[in-house]
Amino acid sequence: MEEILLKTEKLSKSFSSGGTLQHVLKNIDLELYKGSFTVIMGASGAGKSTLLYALSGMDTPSLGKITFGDEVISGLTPDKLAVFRRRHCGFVFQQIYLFEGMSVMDNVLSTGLLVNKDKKGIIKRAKELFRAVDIPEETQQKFPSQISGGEAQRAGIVRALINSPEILFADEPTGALNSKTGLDVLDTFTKFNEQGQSIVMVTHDMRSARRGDRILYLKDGMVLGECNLGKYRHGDGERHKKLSIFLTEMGW
Amino acid sequence: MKKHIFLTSFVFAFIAEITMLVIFAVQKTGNWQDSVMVNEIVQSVKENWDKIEDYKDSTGISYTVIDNGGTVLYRTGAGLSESINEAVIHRDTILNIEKDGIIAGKVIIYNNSAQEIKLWKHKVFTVMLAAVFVQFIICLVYIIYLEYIIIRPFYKMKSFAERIAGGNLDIPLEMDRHNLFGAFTESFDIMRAELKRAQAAEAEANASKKELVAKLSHDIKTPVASIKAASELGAALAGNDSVRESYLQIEHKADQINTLVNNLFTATLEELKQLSVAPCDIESRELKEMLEGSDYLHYADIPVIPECILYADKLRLQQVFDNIFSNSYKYVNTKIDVNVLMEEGRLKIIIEDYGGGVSEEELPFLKDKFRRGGNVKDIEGAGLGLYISDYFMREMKGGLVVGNGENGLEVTVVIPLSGGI
Repeated sequence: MEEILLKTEKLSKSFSSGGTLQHVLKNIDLELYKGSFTVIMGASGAGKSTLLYALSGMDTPSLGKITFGDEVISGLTPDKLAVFRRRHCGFVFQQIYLFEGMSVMDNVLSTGLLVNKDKKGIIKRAKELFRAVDIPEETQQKFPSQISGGEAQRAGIVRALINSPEILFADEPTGALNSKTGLDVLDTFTKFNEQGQSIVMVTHDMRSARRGDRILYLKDGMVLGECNLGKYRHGDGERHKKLSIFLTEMGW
Repeated sequence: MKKHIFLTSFVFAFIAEITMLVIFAVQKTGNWQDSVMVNEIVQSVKENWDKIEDYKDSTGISYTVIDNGGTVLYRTGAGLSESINEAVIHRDTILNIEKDGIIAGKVIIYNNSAQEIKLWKHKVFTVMLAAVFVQFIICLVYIIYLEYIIIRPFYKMKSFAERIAGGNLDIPLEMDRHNLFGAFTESFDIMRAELKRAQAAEAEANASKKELVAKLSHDIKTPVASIKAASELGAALAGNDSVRESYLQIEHKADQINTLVNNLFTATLEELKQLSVAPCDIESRELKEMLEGSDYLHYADIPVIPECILYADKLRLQQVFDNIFSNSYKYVNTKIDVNVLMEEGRLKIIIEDYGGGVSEEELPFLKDKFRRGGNVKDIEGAGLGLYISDYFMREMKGGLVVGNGENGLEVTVVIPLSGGI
């Protein structure tokens, strides 16, 4: 029996546009499990990013309920939501948003110190994570403008994981990277997921989606279907075929 | 009249405010010295100069007495100027005490104009604050009055107009001659009543037409049956193929006339299908307002509606609720229970009255066209409400279930969730 990490009940999000309500997410009932690598796919405007932001507490739903563990987060005040995000969630975006005036290491440490005051412990964890994503010590001391896009995104992952979040949210993490660096970032995700890190990723890219063990397909703000691929194994041709068939069925 | 009260009181408060300002502007602030009292002080100090330490002042004015060397000989209280320098800074009045033609010392009369001004300012501030507060209260009362007299009746009329637009002419508009819309309200309700009467007359005319069509179809069918029978006989007895062919042709045409007559009768009953239903996504919280709007006699406690997005036509759904509540009002007039249940991608609104329900034999036919229950007595109605409601709900991919509950008739409105079907 898989342990439920995040659960939504009739999650809906509406935006007012020109006096009419646009329902971007409609009645989404979803359970995300601990240790899973969930990928959210769908056409542009299907509500993928809106769902990711609602799940992660970056945005509040218009209707419905979101439960994280035993805590209902859908009714929290913005301040309490910010504390929740800081403690439980990590974020990786398409744009990396590292502070230009700080070294890569300081970028990571400043996020860590927001939650944990044990500086030695934070530095130790940062070094472990940098080692895991293959960023050498001299690169850690460089400024963001001095490193490549792939390195910056991997530093972004380190920053997202510095507080040991229970769930890592990624919105098109390889969208701005070239093929090779994108692959390195995906390998990083796979590695952390194998170590038990729960990940929810929004992507348009099939190569990225293949890394997930569960694919959700969104259409018109609703989960149209889902496909269970099992844990990623390198060179698994069947996996690609299964995903292709699923996406074709969904009208991808 | 009430508008005049507001304007009068507002103008009155304004005039009072201006008057206060004028009074304060021209009022003397007490910044002047009583010269008689001052002379009296000088005189009595002079008289008591030799025994000044035993001297007791009786004027009530604050002052200090000093000798030529600046030593304070007498003072009426603390905090007064005690040297010429201090007196000059404080703008006090300084007077000489002459003894035997020689200046023996000085009396410094304390200048209390600063305190006077402070007191005056405080008075002006208090009065202005009170006046502004009174104006604020007047405005607040008027805003509340406007809310009751214009805004609420306006929203009531808006909801009324929506019902009329939706074709629901049963629910009257509450009349209140005390608000600005009183006269309009009455006219609107008269319009509703007239429309309802016209609609009833039209329905009656339509029913008569239908009866005529039914009667004519029956009347036409009888001679057509005779023609068919005669042509069958003719075909059987025909001497040659050509004649038989003609008889069979007559029989075939008689069959065609029969079919057309049947179609004509059915077509009159299919007019209902012209009612359009256009469902879209709506938030479940809108249901509460709709149910409260339908239950205009407030017989029911509307429960909390679970949050979700529904797929429904608001106008038609409102008509369905209106129909269910008005049926209950018309036929049983008891309190009503409303319960909500979410299951299998649908939201169920269960509405039950306390009228004991209908017989089990009648139940299956309640949603049929032109069918009315055994309890209708002489209550006005066409027997189409539940039929149309059922049609609306099916068009929304939902449903309408009618049954007997524990206490009375139980009507369940099944509304699909967006994406739930």
